[in-house]
Amino acid sequence: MIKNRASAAVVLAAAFLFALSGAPDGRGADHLDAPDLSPPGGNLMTDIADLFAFPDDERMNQVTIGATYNPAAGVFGPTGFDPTAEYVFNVDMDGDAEADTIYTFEFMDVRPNGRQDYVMRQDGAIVATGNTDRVMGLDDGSGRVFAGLRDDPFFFDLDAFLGSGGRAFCDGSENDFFAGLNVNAIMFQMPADAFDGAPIGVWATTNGGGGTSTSTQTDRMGFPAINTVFIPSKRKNAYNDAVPGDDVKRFSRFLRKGFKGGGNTAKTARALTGVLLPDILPFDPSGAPGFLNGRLPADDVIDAELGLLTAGALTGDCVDANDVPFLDDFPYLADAH
Amino acid sequence: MRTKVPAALVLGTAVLCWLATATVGARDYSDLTEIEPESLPSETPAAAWLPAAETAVRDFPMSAGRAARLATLQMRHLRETADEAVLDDVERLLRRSVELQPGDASLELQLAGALNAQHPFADAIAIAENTDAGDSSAGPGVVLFDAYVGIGRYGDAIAVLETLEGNDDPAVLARRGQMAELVGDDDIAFGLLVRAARQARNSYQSRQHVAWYLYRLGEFNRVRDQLELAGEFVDAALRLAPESLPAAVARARIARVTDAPARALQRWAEIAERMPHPEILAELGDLYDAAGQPDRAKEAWAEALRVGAEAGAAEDRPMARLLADRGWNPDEALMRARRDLTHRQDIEAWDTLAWAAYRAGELEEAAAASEKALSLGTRRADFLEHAALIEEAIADKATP
Repeated sequence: MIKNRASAAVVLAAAFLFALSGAPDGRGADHLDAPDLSPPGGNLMTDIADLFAFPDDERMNQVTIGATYNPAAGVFGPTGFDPTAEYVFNVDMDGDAEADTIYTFEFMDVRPNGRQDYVMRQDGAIVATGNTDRVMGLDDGSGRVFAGLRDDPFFFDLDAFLGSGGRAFCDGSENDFFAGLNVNAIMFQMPADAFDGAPIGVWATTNGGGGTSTSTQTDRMGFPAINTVFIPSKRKNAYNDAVPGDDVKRFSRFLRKGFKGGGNTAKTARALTGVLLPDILPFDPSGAPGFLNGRLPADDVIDAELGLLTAGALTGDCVDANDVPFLDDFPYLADAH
Repeated sequence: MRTKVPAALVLGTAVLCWLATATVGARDYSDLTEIEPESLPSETPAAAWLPAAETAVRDFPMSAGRAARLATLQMRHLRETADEAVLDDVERLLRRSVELQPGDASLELQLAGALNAQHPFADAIAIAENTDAGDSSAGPGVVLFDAYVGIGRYGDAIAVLETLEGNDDPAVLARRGQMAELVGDDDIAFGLLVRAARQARNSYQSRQHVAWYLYRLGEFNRVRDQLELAGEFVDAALRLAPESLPAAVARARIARVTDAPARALQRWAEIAERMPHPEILAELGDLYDAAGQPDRAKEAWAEALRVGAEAGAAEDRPMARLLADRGWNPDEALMRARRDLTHRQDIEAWDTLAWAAYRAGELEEAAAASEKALSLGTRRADFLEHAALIEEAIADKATP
């Protein structure tokens, strides 16, 4: 077919319209997990990609909590945090699926040097102020905080999961789809006794963003890939809008169906659903760290979840590590590419 | 989904119904014309990511996602550099990604959007009509709207906008504004474009995206001879995104009227350097001519004709206009305008045919085409001028 173009300016305008209508691809743990997080109308800067909770090896009794946002930051859009959004970490300390302590991050406009100032609050009180891409101390000296651009710590053979070109897990062509990509990250570290040393549950949320009210929840995440894998397309936004306390009632059937479809018995499907819902990442600082007791950046969560999903028929995706090494010290996630 | 469009009669009622909800913005636009670049995030130039994305596609040829990622970056690169050479590659990459991962709505929409840029609108429509991107996604709607408008299926375009009723995304508002402009409701169109720009700024979109909306406002005013306001919007766009070519072209066109000839010529020469297209080169020739440099004018005009001839059917519409405007080759202009119409039947295609036919002395064809060009009610000055000249020529011919 003959390509019959308009004037040069119109072709350029069409290129812009493409950008204003396209929906980038790159789903992973929770990357781009719902239509409302993709353009048009969506806001990648508030899209939660992964959530972590783990103890510090070197500093006994320190707990690190963090999350990543803005999948493929810089490729599909800008790299910063959205000043019209709230980035929230909810901590449940008594197992009732309600937040007992809430950490909130708010970012200011991007400065000419590319950095953004931010404020971290605990239950409304300022506990740290800082600017992006550097490690800052909490105001009371009890811990540290980092917000900025990092390597995407998630590793997963997404092409095999999606069957791209007939690919399958462990077919000899396995690769980390997220290699070479960046995310925005927030990591903070504080004494475990801030939570009375007791087991906690953590989930991340983003509120507002893209100029919308921060009274509206935009995304949420506890365990990796729950929304991406189990929730049907037309319910993904509803899942992100929901609170964990309603998860069992509203979303159990989707997880049960997924587990049964993967080869589990109805009884096992019910039991596994009971582990993953409410969608809150459990973490006992006194226990051995690693998924499902919190989550370390190096944890191969996909292998763990594939095994559960398929009743052991699949034991992993044969991608066992991140494309670049994690740092030995805070903020642990590798430098941005 | 295709519906017959019996021209303005069917359109009128539907258009007025949904446009009635639009509100014209306040008359103070300083909140848009004085946006500080630092108040918005900036995109990293695509060139920074292209080498890695190209390597990833080479290393993982079965990866639909990596092919789509590279295509997205190439489209950004096109926006930033006007390097249209990437368009064929973008289409190839996205077709490949859809082939590798059939049924993926996001990939299909990207392909349809890229096809719109290339103008195989029918292919884009076929893909977007069958894409299920979820209830809340405006993606299929905006892609379909662009394709319907591109091909001249305005009734279908309006039907798509009705499905997006209540969606305040700037991309949707801008398209509603475009439709209002097409049907001649200029105040409503302007109001919608202002809302789109404000929404883009308020929703913390990138400088480059907000600049595009400001450019649209500038261009809207420029073609209506509101040059002062046009200049304010275009200058604001260029402050946010100095690399924006559409804004640079609009600025250079304003400068032709408002700036000293030497300054206007300099601006236009810079544009021609970045984007050596027939219409740009021809206008460069005009400016040299006006500046008393006939040799350089002839050089630029000759280059315009050479580039246009080399591009063949790909540049039919701009070449038809260029040749008809200057009376250089009315027969070729008419041939190209007729051929352009076989691909697209939008009102600009009809106006181009009307104008080329008029210049070639085919007045009946010109009058029929002009009627179709104006059937939506558009108030574009060039359309109206062409119609008046055609009408006058027919009247002259009828006078003994």
